Formats: sequence, C-alpha cells, structure tokens
Amino acid sequence: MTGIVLLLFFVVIGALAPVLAVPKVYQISPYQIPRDGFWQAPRPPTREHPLGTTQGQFDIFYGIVWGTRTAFRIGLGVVAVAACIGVIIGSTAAFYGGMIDEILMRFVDVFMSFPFLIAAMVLTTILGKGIYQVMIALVAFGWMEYARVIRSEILHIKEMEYVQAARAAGASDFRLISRHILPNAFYPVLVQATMATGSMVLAASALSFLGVGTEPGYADWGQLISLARNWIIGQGGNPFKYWYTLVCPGAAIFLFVLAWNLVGDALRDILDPRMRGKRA
Amino acid sequence: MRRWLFLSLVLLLIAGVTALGEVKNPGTLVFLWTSDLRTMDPAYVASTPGSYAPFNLYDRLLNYKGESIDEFIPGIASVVPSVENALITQAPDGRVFYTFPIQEGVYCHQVGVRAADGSIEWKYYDELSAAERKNIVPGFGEITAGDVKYSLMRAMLLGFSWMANAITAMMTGNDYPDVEAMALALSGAENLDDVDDATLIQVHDILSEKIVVKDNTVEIVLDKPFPATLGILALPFGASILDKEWAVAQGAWPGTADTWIDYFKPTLEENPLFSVENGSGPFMLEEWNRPEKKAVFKRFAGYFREPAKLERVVLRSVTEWTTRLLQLEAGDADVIATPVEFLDEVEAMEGVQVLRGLPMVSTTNTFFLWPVRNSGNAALGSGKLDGEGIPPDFFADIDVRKGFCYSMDYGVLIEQIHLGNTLQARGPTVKGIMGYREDSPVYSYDPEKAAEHFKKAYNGELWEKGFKLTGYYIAGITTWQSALQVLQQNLAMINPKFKIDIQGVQWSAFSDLLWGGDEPGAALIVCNWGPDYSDPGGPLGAASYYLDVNGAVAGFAGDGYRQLITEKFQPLLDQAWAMVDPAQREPIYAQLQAMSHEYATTLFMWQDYTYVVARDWVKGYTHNAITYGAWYFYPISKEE
Amino acid sequence: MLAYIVRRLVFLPVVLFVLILMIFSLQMLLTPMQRLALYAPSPDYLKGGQTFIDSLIDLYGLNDPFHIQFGRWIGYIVRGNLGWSQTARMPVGTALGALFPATAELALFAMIPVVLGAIWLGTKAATHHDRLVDHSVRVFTILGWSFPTFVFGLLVLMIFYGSLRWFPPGRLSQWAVLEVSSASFQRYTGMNLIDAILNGNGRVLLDSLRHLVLPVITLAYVNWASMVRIMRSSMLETLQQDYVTTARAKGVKERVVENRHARRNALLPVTTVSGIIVAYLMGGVVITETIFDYHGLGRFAANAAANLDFPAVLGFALYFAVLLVFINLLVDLLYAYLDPRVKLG
Repeated sequence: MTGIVLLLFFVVIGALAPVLAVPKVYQISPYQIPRDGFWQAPRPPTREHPLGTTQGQFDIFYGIVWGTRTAFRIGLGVVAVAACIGVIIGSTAAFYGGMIDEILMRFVDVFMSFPFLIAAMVLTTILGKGIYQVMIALVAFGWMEYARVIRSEILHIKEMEYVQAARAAGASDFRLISRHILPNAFYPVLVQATMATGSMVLAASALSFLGVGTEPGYADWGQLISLARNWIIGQGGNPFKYWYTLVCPGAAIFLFVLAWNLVGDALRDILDPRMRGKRA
Repeated sequence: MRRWLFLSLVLLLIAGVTALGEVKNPGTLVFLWTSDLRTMDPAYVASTPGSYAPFNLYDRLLNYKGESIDEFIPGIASVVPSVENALITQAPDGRVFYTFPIQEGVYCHQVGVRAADGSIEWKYYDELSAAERKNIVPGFGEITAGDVKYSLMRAMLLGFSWMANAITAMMTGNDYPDVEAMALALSGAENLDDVDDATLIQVHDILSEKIVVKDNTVEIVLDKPFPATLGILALPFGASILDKEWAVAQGAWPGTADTWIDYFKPTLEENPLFSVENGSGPFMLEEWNRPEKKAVFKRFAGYFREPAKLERVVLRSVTEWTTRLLQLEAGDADVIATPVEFLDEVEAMEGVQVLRGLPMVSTTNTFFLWPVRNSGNAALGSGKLDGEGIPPDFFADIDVRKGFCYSMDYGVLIEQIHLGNTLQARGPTVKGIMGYREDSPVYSYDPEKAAEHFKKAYNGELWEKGFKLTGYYIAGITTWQSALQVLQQNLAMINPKFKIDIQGVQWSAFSDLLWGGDEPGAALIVCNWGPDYSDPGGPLGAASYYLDVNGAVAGFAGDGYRQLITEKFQPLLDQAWAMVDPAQREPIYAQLQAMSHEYATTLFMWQDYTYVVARDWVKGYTHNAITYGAWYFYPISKEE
Repeated sequence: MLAYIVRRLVFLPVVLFVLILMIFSLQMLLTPMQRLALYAPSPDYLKGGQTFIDSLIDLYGLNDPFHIQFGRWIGYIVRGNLGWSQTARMPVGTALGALFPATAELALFAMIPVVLGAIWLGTKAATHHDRLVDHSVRVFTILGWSFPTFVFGLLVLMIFYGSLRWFPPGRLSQWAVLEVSSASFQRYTGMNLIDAILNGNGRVLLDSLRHLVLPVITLAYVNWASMVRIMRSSMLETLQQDYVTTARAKGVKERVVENRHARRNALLPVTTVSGIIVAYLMGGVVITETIFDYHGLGRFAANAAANLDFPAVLGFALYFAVLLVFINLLVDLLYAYLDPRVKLG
C-alpha cells in the first residue's frame, strides 16, 4: 500500500499548492514559476528558495509544488480521455467483429505506426505550445493501446460460457455489453491506465526536452528537469555542484511514477483472475 | 552466460585502454556549432552560418581589412580602388567609375584540362603534375575579368538571396531592389510570367552595361554614388567570384541575355551549383555529409597566395551543449559554440581560451507593432482597453511606448542576462557605424517616469483600467524570453493591472505573425536585426532597416509605424543618402538616432555580440563585426 | 502459414495510404506563411519584403489548390524518392538510406543487453519474489524508466568520457573517419562495426565499439524497466503452474526447474515486448542520439518534425509503418513457433 500512501501525499501537496507556494502579483497564471533574478546559473538552496533555483532562477520548490497539479492534470486528464476513446473504439470493434473490426483495427494501426514523438512534435508545432496542446497531442497518440487491450479482452470473454448463456437467454446487445462483457473486460484497461498515468509525465518531459512542450517556466516537473540539462555535468571538478536541479524534480517524478506503478501492480494482483487464489 | 559477460567486459577494457594516449588531430581544426550549411552556391546564401562556405571556398574582389568594417585589402582585385589611386573616378554627369585590376594566375580548385580526344576534363589542380598543368585550357578554372562579370551578373539574375539582390540595388542606384522589380517596372506587367522577352533582354543589357571588361580589369559604372559599393563587394555572399566555364559546364546560366529567366530563383535542389563548388579560395570542399550535418574543407595547395596553414577544417553540428563541452575538454574539438552563461567557467578551464567582447553590428530589441490584426486575435485579448486586452493600435500612443521604454531594466539585461558582455543599444546604429554617438540619449529604468507616461496615456484611462497583451519571442532563445519577463515583472510592479503574457513560438508561427498578412499578428515581439554593410543608409543599412519606410522593420511593424516613419524620418533619410560627403551625412544620421529615442519607435535593448571559445592551440582568429563573426579559416593554425 | 502472412500484409497499402492522407491534412492546417518557414528558416531569408515573400510562396506552390498539392505528393511517392527534404538537403529516400545503417547498428547492438539483461534480472526478481533482490530490481528498473533518458545519458557521458576518456560520443574518431572514407576501406553495410569485421580492420572495429558503448548502455537501462517487469510477472506466473510444482515434487533441482521448465515458457510475452522495443529503437531514439552526437534516424525525424518538413516526416512515417508491420508479423510468427498452443489466424 506504499503506492496509495505516496499518491495521497502528492494529492495533499497539490491541493495545498496556493498555500505552500504563493504566486507573485505579476504572474498571469499560478503555473508560471516566479524568477528571482535572471542569471542563468542555478543557485543552491537557501531560506528563500528551499530547494534552490534552476537555470534562469526559477524557484524549484514552487515548480515542484505546482508541478504536482500539472502532473495530475496531465496524467489523469490524458489517460481518462485516451482510455475513453480507446475503450469505445476497441469494444465496438471487438463486439461487432467482421468488417467493422477490420476497419477500426486498421485505423488503430495507422495511428500506431505514426512514431509518437514525431507525431507529438508536429502536432504541438502546429497547435502551439501550452499544456492543453501537449495533452491533445498525448491523447491523439495514446488511445491505441487501450483499444487493443479491451478488444483482446472482449474477444476472449465473448466466447465464454456465461456470455453464451446470457445470449441464449435472449439478452440484448446493449445489455450484453454493459452488464456482462465490459465489467469483466475493463480490468486490464484499469491496470494499464494507472500505470500510464505515471508515464504521461515522462512523455511530457521528453517533449520539453525537444523544445515542444510547455512554455519555459511552466510549473511542470519535466520542464524543471530539462532546465537542468546543461548543469548535470556540474562545474570544473565538481560534478555535483548543481545536484538540486536534477535530484529534486527527478525525485518527484520518480516517486510519482513509482506510486502509480505500485498502485497498478497491486490492482493487477487483485483483479487478475489468473493470479487470484494463487497468492500464498 | 557469465562467460559472455566476462568476455565482453574484457573487450570493453581493451577498447578503453587503447583510447589513452591518442593524438588529437594535428593540422585539423574541429569546429562544433549548432548551425548548418545550406548550399554551396554563393549567390544563394543569405545567413551567417551559410556564409562559412563561400567565405572559405571562394574569393571576392576585396576582403575586409582585419577588424575594420570599412577598410579593405585586395582579394581577386590586385589593388583596392580609391579616389587617391584614381581607380575611383566620378564623371561630370554624376556617374561613378570603379576600376578593379584582376590578379593573374588565380586558379580554381578544379581546372579544365585538354584530354587526348580534345574534350575538356575537369581535374583537381592539386593532383596535376607540372607537366599536366601546361595542358590547362586558359580560362577554364582560371579566374579572369570575364569570370568576375559573370559572377556578379549571375548573382543579380538569380535574384534569390537578399545579399545578391543588394548588388542589383547597388548597380541601379537603388532604383530597383531586385531584377524582378526591374522587369515588372520596365514592362508594366503585373507578373514576371507576363513580361515579354524583349524586356527580359533589356534587363540583362542594362545590368551588363554597368560591368565593363577591359583586358584584365573590370570596370563598374554606377549612375549615382552608392557609398556601400566596396563593402558589398567584400562580403562573402553573392559577390563571390566563380569560374564561368565551370559553372556553365555544371548547367548554370550560360551567360546570355535571353536565357537568364530560365535560371531565375531556382529552388534549393534545382540549382546546379547546390552541392558542388569550384572556387579559388584557400580551401576546397572535401566532403559535405548532409544527413550528418558535417562539412569538411581541405587545404587548396594551389591557392594564389600562400596556402592555408590548416590541412583540414571539420564543421560539425552538435546540438547538445554538454557534449560539445566535453569534447573541447578532451581535445577532440578545437572550437565550440558556447552559451553565454558558461563563458566564465570555460575560461577557467585549463587549455581553453575565450575571446570576449566581439561586437556584432546588429541589435536585439523589443518591437512595438501597430495596428494589429483584429479578427479573433489572441494577442489582443479582449481587443479593448478594459483591462483584459488592448486595442489594435495600442502602441500608437507615444506615452504608452515611452512608458514601456522606461519600464525595462537595462541593467538587469546587461548584467544578469548577458553577464556584462555587451552594451545597451542606443538606437539602430551601433558603435563603428556612422551616426553612433556615445552620448546619445537612451532610456534607463525609471519606474516613476514610466508611471507618469502611463498616467497620461489614453487620457488616464490606461492607468485606471490596465491592459493585458501577449508578447512573443522565438521559442528556444532564452535571452529573449528573459527580456520579456523583465518587462513583465516591472510593469506589474508599476501597476498590478498591467499584464503581459509571454509566448514562445516556433519560427514558423513567428514569421506568420510578422509577415503572414497585411497587418501584424502581434503587438509586442522581440527580434534582432542588423545591417549587412557598414553604411547606415541605403537598402541594407542600419538606419534604413529601422527607420526607412521600405526597411525591414517597417515591413512588419504595421501601418501605424510606417506612417510615423514616413512623416518624421523618411525625409531625413532620403536627404542623407543623396549626399556624398561623410562630414555632412554623419550629423543627419546622429540626429536620426536621437529621434528614434525621442519618438520611442522601438524599445532598443542590447547590442549583439559574439565570442570565441577555443583550445589554446588555436591561433590567428580575427573578428570582423560586419561578417557577424563568421570564421575565415585561412590564417588559422594549431600550434602548441 | 503463407496465407496468414499474405493476409497480414494485404492491409499494408491501405494503412500507408491513410497515413499519407493524415499527414497531408496536418500540413494543410498550416497557413502558407507558416509553411514557408521551412524554406526560409530565419529572418535573413525574408529580408526582401512582402513581395519577395509572396514570390517565394508561389515558387514552392504553397498556395496551390488542395488537389494539386496532394497530387504532387503522390507523385513523389510513386516515383520512389519520396520528395525532397529541406532539412536533410537531399531526397527523403536518400536521407533515410544514408541514416538507416547507423540506427540499425545501434538498435541491434542495444537489443543484446536489453534482452539478456532483462531476462536475467526478471528471473532473479521472480525467483526471489518479495524479497530484497526483488524489490531492488524493481526500484532499479523503475528508476531507469522514470529518469528521462538524457539524464542518464549525460551522467554516463560525464563519467566515462569526461573523466575517464574511455568512451567518446559520436560514431567514430576523426582518424577513423578518414580511414573509413579512404579507398582502402570497402563499405558493405554502412554499419561501422560490421564493415570493420568484414574488412579485417581491428583498429576501426575497436574504435567503433568504443563509441557504441555509452549509447547502448543508456538505451539498455531505460528500456529494462518494461522488459524486466514483463519477464518478472511472466516468470512468476509460470512458476505457479502445475507442471512446475510437479517437477519440484519430483525432486528436480531448483535451477533446472527455473532454466529448463519455467523460463522457456516465460519468454513468450518477452518476445512480444522485444518486438515493440526493436521497433522503437529502429525508429530512431532522438534523445540518445542528441546526447551522444550520434546521427541516426531519430534526429533526422525530430528535426524534420520541428521544422515542419512534411515530405521528410511522411517518408519517415512510411518507413516506420512498414517496419512496424514487418516486425509485428515476425514477432507473431516467432510466438507461434515458440508456443505450440497458439494458432495463427
């Protein structure tokens, strides 16, 4: 249950963001990290900046606190929408089979064969930079896995006896789907979704690194890490001089991803019928 | 399993150990930058990184003298024309004659050799023996006066890069910016496709009359004085000299009056001289690996002067800073492009030299644009002066502009963002260009004065209601973003209702904002702009760029800006350009500089600069502001 | 079997066509001025004023009607060279061909530690389920997954190149580049390591190996997480199976049980994931390539995407789609071969 505890910890931080890290008056949005000066070189932790400042004097503590909200927004927002789209398409394909299945699955193939980073880059170049644009790009090229997973689950379940029985008893298509098939087929999607929530943050971070993510200075852990890029090597003989620029946001990402992974693993252990009953 | 692991570890160790004690490329300069070469055709090149190719592979009539931006030394021309040596003369009717005597014995990297069957083969000059060199067909791979004329004509008639078009402007006394405009004007047609053949031939002939070949001198005849003539001919762009015979053999314009239109404005790939070169410069193109963004120049032993000291120059594009730094440290790289914030650290490294404070003639500024595209424009917010937006002609009010100018903290810009490496810009012209005065008025950070002006603006409404607008910069340029943030913070401190939203946009979107319609799409942008020769006037001059209604800035800053320019600045500019005597022109340009401050036409920020980060053993670099720091590898050497 | 293969491949042209249509539509979402940015990548190229800009838009046909532009695209593809890439400054097909060996070399050599390491780690974790080893492995791999690639890459570059000077970035040292491009070195595949072996050139072989080490380690570490997880859970599942319990009951040694009985079956899901990872690696790994100054398809594609070089983006997407289809097919065939219970079709 470490996963749940970690997640709760993040939820609390995110909820308390306006209190923990107060936005300055000139900020257009609280997600814009305030800058204390404009020197490029990061500064170590001080009273005023408990976790130090990163390149350009962006306050790391502020960035991590508000970045929690961003992480949840990106993670949950993208996964929720992508999973919905994927489930609708996948279950339609699986249930009706035949030509519809083929067409929809080719459609999935087309999206899958578009390399993700490139697609996201093109999309964000067209749509512009910003958190919503990033989310749109991630959704547009992230729903396919859910479609495939639910489709294979449904195909599996469709042949099962209890479904055949219900059909023989005269249940309508809709009832079959909603009452018998979907509730059972949904588990792998749930497991996948929980684990993907963590990795959405990573995808956004890769986009930041490539220069097509959110506006520089946006409170996003991935942004913070990509701001640390030139300082990882330290200075002169001291490679750890700017450790805080990397370790702080890195720890946040790591714990967040770990939390979702643990939750996802636990869910699978609980929900997967093949594992049920085998635990000592 | 374990055995494999052990074996691979041993292999790795061997590999690692053999690494130690490697010799670091003597005679080869490894140059790591973040840019890329675009084409080998000098007439096509328009940017500073692109100029590295023609600069080193081709020669020009003249070269800039060391660091000076208005003194010259001979290149292919054996003497620099001047009034003193009577190679520049002015006729009573006002025409100016420039005479360039051409060096003899200037060979290109490849020469035409008569083969056994009578045909002409192109071979590398360096690879020919002395006996074979006797078989070189005269003029084939040898620079003659005819080649000079051909090169200049071709650049003008290719009409692609702005730099090449500057030659056209020069030849026509600024009557026509390029040959297309000339053809359209002379024929009255709307479209180049509709121009009749006779006019096309006429365009060629008009230009051809201005370049006269006599034995081995080239005479350029201008109808009106054009002060920047020598400067343009010394720039490593369209004025580079090709060998006509070779170019024609590659499929370029044959040099006749009726065919130039077929070779006009080719696309990058259609250009026959796109990936091949045959200059007379100190280096040859050994390899241009485009997918890997790597170019290798090799020393040309047959250079008409002393051969270069370096045997090879390797230009590689490495986008990751840390990787570049580590390679410099290891000695695998000799020169690297460096972000300004690392200069101090790099200077402290052993074996590394940093040349600082190398000025460039451009400035980076925040531009006011008005009136702005109105329909559904996010940059305007609500589109009204209600605190949630701005009206389209927001910056038409001079008090608003002055308020902004007083709100920028120039000290922070210079000290914190540029770490003291440059100066505040005082206007369109920078130090070294006529019209620059060290004591001209500049704005400083003064929140009180700013508040004063803001309170006056829009009859006090602005101060009451506040505003919200979006400022744009090109994504990835952190100094520009920082500048906008300084403005954002300071404005909010003056009045919390003054809000600026900052957006970094890709170049495609940025250029769309500025040139994508009749009106600009943004009210506030950061950009840098600079002249291409040292004279402040004319089509490419510093003052003209900013203050001429046909200048680049007026081209994107909006109708309101253009009106202001036409009313106040244009008459003086025209006046100064028509004069010849520098003593008369200088005060006018100085006045224009002061006026740009008085009318707050633009928020001038800093003078652009560059620096060189290289290993200690790299010697011989000379900086020239007008070439924007492009490296001329000829005098460079690697010595302990 | 053949019928199955044919059936899988028959939809490939359809997929490709839809891909072309999709990318083309994306391109048409941009205004002509935005698209011009590809041909005029900085303000220097636009100094001619509005008329100059308009003439450039005409020159590149950016304002032509939809069907004319689309027809032009189809023309490029049918002619086989996929059009001209402004960012690579050569035909798209040629650029893909020039960069493919580098990417293939990296992908193939990275797969070795990825697969072998993942199998080993996953097995260890599964056989020591819920004990310290298991937890360490999981933390170790999740750490690798949650840190962006460039962090790990820069760290190893700093240690192994910056401090130790053992393994440099790039593909070859300067002297090796000269040797490889000289007449005495015959190019067979474009992959330096293999060509060096075929040419019998030990020095180039070692140099090439040295340059591959760091990117391979980086790729291995960041990809272990998913492989190890699959291997671990698959191994766990297999170890619960009845036949394993039987083997144990019969007194078979634990190690033999692991290796011969459980692992072979546990490898099946790993095969699928390997396919995915190979495809991803062959698609170019832009961040790794950027850090290690390794010029492969990843950087080419990312550069094309950032500059809106649509012919290059399209060419790359088509390459990747075809690659994916073939790899998926291969994986399914391999799967059917390994698991007799699986029926194709």
